[in-house]
Amino acid sequence: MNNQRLFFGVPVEAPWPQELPSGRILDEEVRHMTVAFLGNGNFTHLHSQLSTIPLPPFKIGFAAIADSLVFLPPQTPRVVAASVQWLNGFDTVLEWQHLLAQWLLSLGYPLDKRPFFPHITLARAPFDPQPWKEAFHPLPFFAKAIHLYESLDNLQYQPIWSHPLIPPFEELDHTADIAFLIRGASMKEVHLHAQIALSFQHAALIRYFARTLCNNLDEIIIDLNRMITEIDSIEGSPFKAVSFHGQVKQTAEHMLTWEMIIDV
Amino acid sequence: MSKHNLKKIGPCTYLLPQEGGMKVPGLIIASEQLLEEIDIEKPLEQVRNMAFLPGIVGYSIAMPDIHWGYGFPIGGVAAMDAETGVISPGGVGYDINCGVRLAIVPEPFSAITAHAKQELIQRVFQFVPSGVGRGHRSGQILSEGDYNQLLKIGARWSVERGFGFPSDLDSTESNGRIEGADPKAISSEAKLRGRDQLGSIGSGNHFVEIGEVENIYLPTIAESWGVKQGQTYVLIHSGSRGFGHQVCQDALNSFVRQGYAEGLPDKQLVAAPIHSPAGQQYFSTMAAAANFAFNNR
Repeated sequence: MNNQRLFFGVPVEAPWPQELPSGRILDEEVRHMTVAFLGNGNFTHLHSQLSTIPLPPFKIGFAAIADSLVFLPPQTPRVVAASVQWLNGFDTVLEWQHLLAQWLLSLGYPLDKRPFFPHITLARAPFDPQPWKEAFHPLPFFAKAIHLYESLDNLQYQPIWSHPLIPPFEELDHTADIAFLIRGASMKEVHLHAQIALSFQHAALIRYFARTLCNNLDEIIIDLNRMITEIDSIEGSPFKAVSFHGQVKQTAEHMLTWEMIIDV
Repeated sequence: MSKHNLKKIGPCTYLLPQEGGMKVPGLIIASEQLLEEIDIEKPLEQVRNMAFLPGIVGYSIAMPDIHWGYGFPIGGVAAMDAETGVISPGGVGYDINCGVRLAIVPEPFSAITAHAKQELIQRVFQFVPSGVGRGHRSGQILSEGDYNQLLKIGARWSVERGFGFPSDLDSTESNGRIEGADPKAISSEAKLRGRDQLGSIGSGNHFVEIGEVENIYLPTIAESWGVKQGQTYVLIHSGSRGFGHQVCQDALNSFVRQGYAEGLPDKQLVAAPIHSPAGQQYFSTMAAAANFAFNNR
């Protein structure tokens, strides 16, 4: 366990483009958001304490928008990353990141003092920034799990500890149209995750996301259709309407679920 | 709800017994093999839900293409009492008056050269927008006067402008017009979604097909329709595009907000009494969307 390079990170799921510009591009399954970077060292003590890691208060993987490109560090960029636009839940993620940092400090692993800057690592140097700037379009994403990663050679990242997160949505088989099971801890999350699910199929929808808070399913469906009406009027949409089908149900784990069916 | 609830009452005919809030029994028209092959649980639930609609007459029916929809199952049929029944925008569906038009061309298919076929296909793609959200993007937008007129008079609008023959109206269902359309009742969002989509196909299973009449199975009917072997045909499958979707959505939103979904097991079934102001408002906009679709194909 000597001389490892470790960090806590969140692997993300996103509708990545088939091709990205040049660079040492991370495989889709290891594109991640770094939560706490430990660097190089001997982590024997950490390995013995993994069962005491402070777990996040959220069970469902948070969803957000990768809204623009950043090249890090700014002076001498070595990393291509997407910065994150939070739509909900950033405070919760931040609080948990602080707890994790304190826990690491208590074990004798102080973190870098720079403020937490959430970003998704996409590629490493060498790269030409210009094609990246031209090719990038905002994308939705969600967190799949929490990993303690070991960084290996050649952009290989090996999870050595994992905590699973429940996907905020999953596609259901529907014979005629498109259907998703939407999950959320609150109605606000159900609304957000429904928008994220749709934007996974058509990322341009991001520009039409809700501007209002919805308190019940009827309002959510009406707002989702407001979004579809707007985009269809301006640039066309693969979705025609979200049906009023279904009700929000509460699971035994106090999670809200809704079966969303979309006319296409 | 399961297929074990079904009781066979005739060849390819199954009864779903009336229970709970169902106002009529369900009736499934399907072979035993079909019932075995398809995932029947969710569509059966929707047949049951459809039977909750006030004023439903006889049975809540599912045809052999039964499969999972939203509100109604796909293949669902519900007849309503014209006086005491309801009108359900979700039952009518989003793509109001989606359908298929067959046009017969006098030219035999064999007389069209390979080069001409190639040219024909290119011209169809050039002049008939198809695909997701596609309309006429080159400024060919309907004037307000034309828009209102075609919504009101249906396919006659196209015939009067040389896009069809008067005899086409005779062979179009309802002569290409649903009476009672009120363009003033249409929302600005619906008009915006449809303004550049007249004469377009859309996406999904919609298409333009040009082909040859290879086989005639019902000679008497074919003769009465003027269909001959070897003839060229054009088949157009399209509906009311974004216009109809928005008409449906506007009505669903309005009906739900007015509380018409109370007591129904699925809000997509939401329905208002046909003679209520809400019901009449929807009927007048639905008729306009149907007239848009008649013109569209």
